[in-house]
Amino acid sequence: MKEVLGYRQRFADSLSHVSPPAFRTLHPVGDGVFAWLQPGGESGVSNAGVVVDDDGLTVIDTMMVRSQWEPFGEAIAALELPVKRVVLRTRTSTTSAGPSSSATR
Amino acid sequence: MILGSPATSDLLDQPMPMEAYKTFMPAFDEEFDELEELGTRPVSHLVDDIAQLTARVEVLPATGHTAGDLMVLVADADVLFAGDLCFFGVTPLAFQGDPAAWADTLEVLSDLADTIVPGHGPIGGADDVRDLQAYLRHCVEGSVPPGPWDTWLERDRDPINIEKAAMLRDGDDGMPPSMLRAIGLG
Repeated sequence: MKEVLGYRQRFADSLSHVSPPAFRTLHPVGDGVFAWLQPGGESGVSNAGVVVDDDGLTVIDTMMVRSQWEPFGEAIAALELPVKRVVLRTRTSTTSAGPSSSATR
Repeated sequence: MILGSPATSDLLDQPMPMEAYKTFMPAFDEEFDELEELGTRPVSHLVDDIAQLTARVEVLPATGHTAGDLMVLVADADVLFAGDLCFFGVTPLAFQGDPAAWADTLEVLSDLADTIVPGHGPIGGADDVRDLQAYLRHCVEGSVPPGPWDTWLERDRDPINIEKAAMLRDGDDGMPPSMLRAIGLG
């Protein structure tokens, strides 16, 4: 994987005001791989992810409602890399296919 | 580019059952009104087989939770985004799936990566997958004994999962009546 210059510092800066455990932040789980975790996990409260690739970002799933998608979108924007792909990974369920697929706005 | 399974794509092309959402997830009642107004975006690229999406990202179709789940494997980081194939610390919901098939899928899932990001709950690993698999097997058997799931959220899903497994044994792939009641349709 090619290094994407600067994204780590931008990510660190975006987290400078957050204390762990880092719910609703881009939590690093690998080199250029981030999990977006929501506390609890009941219906409508799901996780997502972001992967930094050569050409930009792959976003793994989206959030359901504005109070969820706005902070996720802001954290993604803070990486200052283009979103190239959104993978709607799991949301076939009729209770979640629509809402959870409200792609980052 | 928005990627999804054919089943997800079909659902996104249909109107959202907003009243069912509100009944099932009342905490988001007011926000659903805005969502209904904004709508959702359609899938632009269908994924119906394993695909190497980028140098880092592999997309893996799977079944069990539903007929159209997708997982994302980032092998170089040893991370699997398992989506709703994994609920950690939260009771899974199989009303549109197959608890037995789901448990079978989990048999191989934890071999894919050490770090597993579930669709719901905290990050976990192989032990969490084993607990989830054992819970689903108990649902297939018809009752859930005491176990690590005693601390999970949303245990009122047990009857839905047990009922779905029993219906499938009888050849009925319909919506469990207990789930219909949960979304205000029963």
